[in-house]
Amino acid sequence: MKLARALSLAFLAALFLYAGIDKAFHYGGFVKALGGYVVVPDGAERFFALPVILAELMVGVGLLLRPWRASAALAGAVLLAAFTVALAINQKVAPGAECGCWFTVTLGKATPSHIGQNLVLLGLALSVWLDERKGHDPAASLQEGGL
Amino acid sequence: MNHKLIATLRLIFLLGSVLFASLSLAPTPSEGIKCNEFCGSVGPIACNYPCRRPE
Repeated sequence: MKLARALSLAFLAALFLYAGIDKAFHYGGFVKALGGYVVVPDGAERFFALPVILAELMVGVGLLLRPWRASAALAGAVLLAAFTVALAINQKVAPGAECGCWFTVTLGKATPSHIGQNLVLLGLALSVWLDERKGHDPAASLQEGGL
Repeated sequence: MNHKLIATLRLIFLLGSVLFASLSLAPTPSEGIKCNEFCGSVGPIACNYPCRRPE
């Protein structure tokens, strides 16, 4: 269980850091992909892009630092929930729009499987949050053995 | 919430995430993607995979 906990944290942290760094290095393309989302008002994508990237990077770094872990996991869950809603709306209103998921690796159309993927990641972030939130209890931390 | 339940859920979600990640990294059809519009700013990696830069 300790290994699963460490792997979950490492996986989520790597995912958010990769996503943030990749978007930062391909900023123009990310702004374009963001413009394809129905929930983003026309012309507003350039104002959303930087906060999204910074939020992803902060979540990634926060998951690696013990004092920030619970907050970072919750923030990650909120981000994933927002992305999932945006993807679901796009799927309904403008099917076939670019996803921007795993940005430069698989630049492609958003599909229902991307929504499923985000929901599973959301579940992972929430379970990490529940665990880390409980981790502030010294007795629980001792029982778990800590990370 | 029960600690074992959280740990079990976390394990299930972790395995699911890894599975989805593997699936989404697998090659996908490139039809319909506007490579011309995208490649200008995204760069060569995205243009080569999954959509290809027009010759």
